Amino acid sequence: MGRAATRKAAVAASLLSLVLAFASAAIAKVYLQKGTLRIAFTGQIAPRKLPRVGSAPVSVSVSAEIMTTDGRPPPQLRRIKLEINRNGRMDARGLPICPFRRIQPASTAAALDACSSALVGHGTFRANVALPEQSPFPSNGRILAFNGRMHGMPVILAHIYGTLPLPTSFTLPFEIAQRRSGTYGLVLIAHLPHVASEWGSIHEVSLTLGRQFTYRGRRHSYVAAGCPAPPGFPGTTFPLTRMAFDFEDGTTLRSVVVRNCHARG
Amino acid sequence: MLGKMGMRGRHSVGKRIFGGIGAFAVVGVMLAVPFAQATEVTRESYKEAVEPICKTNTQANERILSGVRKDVKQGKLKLAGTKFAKAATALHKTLLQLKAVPQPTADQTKLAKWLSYVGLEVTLFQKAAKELKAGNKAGAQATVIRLTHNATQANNQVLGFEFHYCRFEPSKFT
Repeated sequence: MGRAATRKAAVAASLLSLVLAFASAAIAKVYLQKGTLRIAFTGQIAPRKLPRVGSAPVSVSVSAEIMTTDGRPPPQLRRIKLEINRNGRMDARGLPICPFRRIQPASTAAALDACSSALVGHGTFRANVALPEQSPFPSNGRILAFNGRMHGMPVILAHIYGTLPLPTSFTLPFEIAQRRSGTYGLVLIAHLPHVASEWGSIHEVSLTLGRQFTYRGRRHSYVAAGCPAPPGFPGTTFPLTRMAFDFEDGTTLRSVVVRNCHARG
Repeated sequence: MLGKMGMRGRHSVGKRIFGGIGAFAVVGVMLAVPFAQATEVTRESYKEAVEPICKTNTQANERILSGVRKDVKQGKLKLAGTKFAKAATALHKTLLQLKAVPQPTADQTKLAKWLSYVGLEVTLFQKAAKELKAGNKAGAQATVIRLTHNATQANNQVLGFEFHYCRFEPSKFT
């Protein structure tokens, strides 16, 4: 990959990290509901005290819980779209890229062995696995997030590995796109393949992104953010992320997550 | 007249009266059942009643609070405070209108909580307005955080109603 391409990827990564950072600034749950389908979304950013000018390394944690009010299994999630506030930065410059084929298929340990240098986050998932003529049973496992590239574009590869009913791995690429104007500068989109729906449904996902690394003798942070509060104000509130969840039955749930930060300096 | 009819007559009249009332009551009950069903407040009818009220308030807020973020960034805190005060007044009027709407019996507890959050939102708007006018930046910022958090709690209370205009969206303005 050329230096220019690396730079573009770094810029995109920076934006993504910023968005992610902003999204996790508050812990309060945001609920979305349409019909009987309900999603609880939380986000957190650490640390919350950030420079008023410039940016500082942060880690961002997001989690989503999908449920129904009548206890029925939720429809399959087909697309997740996260638009992130442009006051964030993602910096993947100098960070190795994990090739998709090295981690798909692979166990968590094997994926880590293959791409530990490209690791940018981790998380967990919970699912209800459906087998023909059997009651659904719960399954859970780990998620590893790697810095990746697909079709020439920067992506985050979310590697999911579960051992029930059989050891199975699944890698979900989050495409990263940029917008030149507007509140949200970074857009992350993940399309969930239809094949996953034959096993059951994922109903809880959590992911933490953040990593500090050294490149050419300088410290870098995969995700960085600032708190651009007006002069004299100790902090600010801001729309961190605008989310849209598309389901197989045509239902779409949308919401904006508002968070706050404390300004330093 | 009753004296002329004597006890028997009185009893007979009484029978007729009660018989008449009984028949009237049966007809009344028969009529009242569908009538009660027609006026029964459901989530859907409640939503239909309150959404136009909230729509008016949303449109008013969009007009009143336009540019408030820019005002704060430019240090025009008094102007921003005036806008917050106007928004508080508009929301208070809306709250009074919402309180007057009959509620579905099963959701009364939930809606009472929701309306209390709306009331707190009015108070917080007023508080932020005062703080901005007084140049109390730290106080105003803390109040806006509470206002945002309170809005989320209010929205979470009425998830099942799937409101569009009656959902608070402070991110539009703050």
